[in-house]
Parts: sequence; structure tokens; C-alpha cells
Amino acid sequence: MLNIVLTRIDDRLIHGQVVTAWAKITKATRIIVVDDEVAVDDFMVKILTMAAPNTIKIGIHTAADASDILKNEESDERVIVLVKTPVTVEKLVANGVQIKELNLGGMGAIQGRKQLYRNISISPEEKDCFKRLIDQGVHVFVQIVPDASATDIEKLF
Amino acid sequence: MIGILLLTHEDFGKAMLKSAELIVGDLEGAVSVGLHRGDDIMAFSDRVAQAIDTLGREKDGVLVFVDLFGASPYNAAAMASQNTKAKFRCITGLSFPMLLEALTMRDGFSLDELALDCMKIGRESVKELFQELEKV
Repeated sequence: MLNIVLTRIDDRLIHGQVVTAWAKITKATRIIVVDDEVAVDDFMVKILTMAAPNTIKIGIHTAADASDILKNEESDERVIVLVKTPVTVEKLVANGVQIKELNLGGMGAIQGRKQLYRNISISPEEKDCFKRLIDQGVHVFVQIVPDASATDIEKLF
Repeated sequence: MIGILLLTHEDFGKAMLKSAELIVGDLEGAVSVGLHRGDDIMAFSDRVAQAIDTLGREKDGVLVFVDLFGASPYNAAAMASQNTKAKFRCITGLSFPMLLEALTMRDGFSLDELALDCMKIGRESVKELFQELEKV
């Protein structure tokens, strides 16, 4: 199975310096973006590939395909798993992917969501999803950029 | 008239337009849309598409500037391109010389020509004081 150095929720997905900063600090060599909708949207795949730092291998996959890759591929790569919502993380964990730490970096304010902290807004359903992940032993923390300190999400609930 | 749209993190573009007004005066058809902390990227992309179509309704097209290649304003412009009717070009690395060039030269060029001209000015406008003094 692949070595996941960071699992991060950021609904802007790959954007400039933010991803570069995290890749640098985790010494990541590969980014796997997991999202059922984005993976089948050729244009979005193009945009994300264009925005990714060109020193890093990038792939965009559905939760099912990503689960396969993360569980069954073997290599020295250091992988960042990037998702838009905790729901995707729950799918990966349900498929047997080992995720113990979940970094919450950004979730935009849309209808149905309430602000939790700075640039993070969550809906009641997403809050329940986080709680289920915590119950399954996943440590969920907010850390928007590497320089910031990490805050346990439960402290913000 | 070619529309000018700035897409930036926070109010970088808004501030730059204010500064440009001091030098150029007329800011008609020049608009800035900022992406603020906590904004949803898809909603921002919709606003971008709307701004492009509004500015581009005279059919001359829109020259879009973003502050940073690969960052969210840039990605939003790319996403918006699927939902816009007006023609646009998008230049990254927004700088003050580039913006002033766009504002002063847009009557004389086509959209493609203006884009090339602004990119050239953007690159050529980076100089160093003491190097320049040596040239004199």
C-alpha cells in the first residue's frame, strides 16, 4: 500500500502556493485527488493538472479507483490525498484505506453550511460525518497552512 | 471597447484599480472581483463568468488578469471559460505596468494583440535602479 503523508480536505483542491507549501513540508512526491464528480469531468481534470506543481506526479480519481490505488500499489512515493469533503474520506476508509490523520484545510461557505472557523464552513451532515470518522479513530484537525498550529476539530464544534 | 477584469486574492485588484485611476483616470469597463477567505470557489467562478459576459457584451472581448498562475482565481477563470459567451484571454502575474498598458492601449488593439502587448510590457517592465544608472 502507498505511504500517505497527508490527507487533506480543501475544496479549492489544487491551488498554487498552498499545495506547494504542503508538498514541500511533507516531502510529498505524488498527489492523489479523490472526488467522484471531478474525476469524470475531463475539463476539471485538465485544470487541476495544469495548476499542479510540475515536479509532482498528479492523479485525479473516483473514490473507488483511489481506494484500489492506495491499497494495492507499492512504491517509495510519499502521497498527499486531497479531497473536497469528509464524505470522500469516509468512502476511502470504508474501502479499507488506512487513514489515521485528517487535515481540514478549507471548505467554502455555501448554502446549508455554517462557519466553523475562518475559511471552514460545514453542514450538519458534514459535521456528523466528521464525528463518525473520529469514532473510527481518525484524528481530525484544522491546519490551514503548514505554519499555523493544528487545532483539534472537536474543540471547534 | 475591450473589457478589463482583474481576479485576485482579496482586494489586491481593487486596490490596483484605485492606484491606476490616479494615473489613467478613466476606469470605464474595468472591474475587479476578489476572492476572499472563506468564499466558495464555484460561486466565485460563477461571478467571474457573469463579469466576463457583462464586460464582453460589446463583442470586443475581455482581457482578464489574475494575480497568480495556478491559484484559485486562475482556476476559477479556467472553469468559467466553459460557461461564458464572451471571448476572453487571461494573463497571469498581474502587475501595475501591465494594467496601465491595458487601460491605455485597449482602443488600438484587438483582444489577442492587447494580450500579447501586455505580456511583453509585464516582462520588460522589471528593471533595477543601479543597473539602469550604469547604462546612462
